[in-house]
Amino acid sequence: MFDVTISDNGEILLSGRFDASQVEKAKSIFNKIEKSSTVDFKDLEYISSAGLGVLLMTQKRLNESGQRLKLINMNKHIWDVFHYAGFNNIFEIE
Amino acid sequence: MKIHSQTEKLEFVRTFISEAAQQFGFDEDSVQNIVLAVDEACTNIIKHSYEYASNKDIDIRIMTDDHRFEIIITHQGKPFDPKSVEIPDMPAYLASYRKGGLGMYIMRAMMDEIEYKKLPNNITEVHLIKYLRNKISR
Repeated sequence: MFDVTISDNGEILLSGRFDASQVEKAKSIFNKIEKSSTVDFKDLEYISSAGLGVLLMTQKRLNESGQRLKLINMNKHIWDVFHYAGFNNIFEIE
Repeated sequence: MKIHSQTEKLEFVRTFISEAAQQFGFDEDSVQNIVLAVDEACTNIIKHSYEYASNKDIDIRIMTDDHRFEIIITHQGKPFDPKSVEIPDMPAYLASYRKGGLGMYIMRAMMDEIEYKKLPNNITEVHLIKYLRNKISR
């Protein structure tokens, strides 16, 4: 189970488990983002490299126009994965 | 367990591995690391070895011996040697926003050993090994 929605204040909310089976669903939302946005991980339980790839490509596209993603409320394991992969160097993580 | 080569089946694989790793005695962090490594290995097989053909088989077995926890993933798709993938220099890699090879990087970071075996009849085995320190019998 995975879901991605945009809240009324423009935050992107992730929930469930973001693996390779959910890439197209996630892209349908992330590909529409055109300005700096916050991604809330509060209800995200799991992410694999497939999910990291969607975030990375979105960050790349936004950076080209001086925009960026900010990632908030990660659980410990997801935070660890981001640090293992060095993603903490290219995303602002709160 | 045996699954068809579909990313929708990854959830079942994660549950299977998580339960076995917990039962063996790994702490929660290690369980999650092992689960992620197996997810990445199966995703690579579905994506690169079977090129998203959805009716192929992936067999996943677990063998344990004292402190050694080994997951053996067997497939008959295109051979793919994880060791052939160069470990990226992550700062430079990320600076260029490349994402290929990221799954392999994560697999290696999460496990103690990765072995690759090419067998007759186009069978390939990927062995993911993790050692349990301070094992407590259950």
